[in-house]
Amino acid sequence: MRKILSGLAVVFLITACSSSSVLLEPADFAWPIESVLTTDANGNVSIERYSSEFNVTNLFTIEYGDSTIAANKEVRIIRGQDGYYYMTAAGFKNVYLFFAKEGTLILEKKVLVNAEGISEPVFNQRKPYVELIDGEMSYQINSQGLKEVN
Amino acid sequence: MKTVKLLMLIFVLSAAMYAQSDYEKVQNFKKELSSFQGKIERADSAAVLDSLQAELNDLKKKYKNDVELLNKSLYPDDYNTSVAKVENAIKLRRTDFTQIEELVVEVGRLKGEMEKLNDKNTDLLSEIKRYQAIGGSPEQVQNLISQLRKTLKQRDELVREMVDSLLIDFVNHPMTLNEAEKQEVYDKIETGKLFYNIEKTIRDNMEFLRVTTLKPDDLGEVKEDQVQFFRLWKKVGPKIADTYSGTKNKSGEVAYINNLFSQWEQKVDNEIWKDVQTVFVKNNIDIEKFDSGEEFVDNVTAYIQEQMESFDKLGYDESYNNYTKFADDVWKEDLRSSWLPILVDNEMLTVDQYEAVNTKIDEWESIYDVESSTWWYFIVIIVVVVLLIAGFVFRKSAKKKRLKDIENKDVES
Repeated sequence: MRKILSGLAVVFLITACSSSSVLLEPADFAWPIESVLTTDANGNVSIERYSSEFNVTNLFTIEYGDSTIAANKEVRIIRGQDGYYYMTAAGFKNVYLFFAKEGTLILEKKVLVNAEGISEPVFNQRKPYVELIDGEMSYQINSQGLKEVN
Repeated sequence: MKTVKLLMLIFVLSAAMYAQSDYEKVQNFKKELSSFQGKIERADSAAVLDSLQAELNDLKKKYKNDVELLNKSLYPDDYNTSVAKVENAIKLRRTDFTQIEELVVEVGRLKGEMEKLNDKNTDLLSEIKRYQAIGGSPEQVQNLISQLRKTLKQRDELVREMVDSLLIDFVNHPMTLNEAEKQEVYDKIETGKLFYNIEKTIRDNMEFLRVTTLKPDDLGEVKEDQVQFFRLWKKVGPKIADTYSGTKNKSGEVAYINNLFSQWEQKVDNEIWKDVQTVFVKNNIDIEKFDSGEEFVDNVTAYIQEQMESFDKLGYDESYNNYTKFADDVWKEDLRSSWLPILVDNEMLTVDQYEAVNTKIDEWESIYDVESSTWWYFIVIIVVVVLLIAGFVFRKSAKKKRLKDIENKDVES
């Protein structure tokens, strides 16, 4: 029993040490305005101001189930205060939240906005939310979900 | 009911205000601001700049509430630096108009002076022609010619000043002129009646040459003025033709002025060659007519060659006389101190051509050196022979005397 207990204590200590992390806070990743980008023939977009580049083909695959329609499409992207990349495009039903990890963007959340498709999406930075406007409709989005404003 | 309507209006308005894209706002601001650049460049007066400044002030009011958003979004500039850039561009452009206004005043002044001088020149030219027709006193005619030369020179300088100021514009803007800079050039050309005044200058100068007989120095000065003015025009003319494009095309006028300059050049050159020929004629030196440096050298050397070949026929004295008259009196005394410097300075005669004539003159001179050296040999031989004879005679008489003395001594003894 003593052996088991001391073994558990060692495991606990090792776990405690390995999971301890350094936090830099507070942090604000918010972009002042959205970036409106057009994909190239391979579905790549590039954000000059932030020197970032990535491929959005899979975004179109999730949305439409078709990976061949990502070329020459307009995509709207904004980074929220929380650090997530909010992405959508005209005709999408959803807004997608991604986070960056090891050279990729990983989907964190998919927020359904309009089952019939967002016709004219626009992102605004309204900390702590990201505002999504679609015509006369306005929504507040964060990693928790969506709230209709009017 | 009214209250409900008012509330609905406020709701709609606030919704509309709220439902605006920040991205669009920033893009609109950028677009509106960048449109100023073209407007400033195209502005053709200070008044236009005033209205642009007012427009910029309105833009600042319009985006007053978005300054924070713009400051963050207008990367790498911010709101203030973006607006300041436009304000500075307006200020900078305004200095151009100040300069243009000053230039217009200056061109106006030049134009006034030129008009006065043009009138005066026309009067003087008619006066000279009238005096020449009625056989007026040479002093009066000479006096009028001096006055005309002076006023022509003043007017030429004003026109050259105007052309020169255009050249400065082109030099200051070596690349293509923008619309405003082109307008500045048009203003100068139109206000100063540039084409008319250049044409008038050339025509008056040609007429002046026709009615007067100038001394070498005066004609040399006329030639120098003509060369400098033509050189200046050759730099400015093509640039004016380039600047006036499309419907404003002035290449015809530029070509016409080029042609007038060539005529003027030809007339001055002809006048100079004619006067040089007169120097030979006055000295009874028969040289075939010439009106270019090449012909001058060909005909003068042909004359010298002919003289050299005629040596036997003419005899030493006449030939040498012809040589001294040509080489010493005309070439060295007269031409070298009057026309030759003008010909060489104005590239009517190259240094090589001038030297070619000198070499031919030296060649001509050398035949008299040979002749005179032959005479010297002859004289020396005569002197030697005379001395030998004298020596022989002297020795003979001395011998005779000695024999006589011996004979006398023998008789005495």
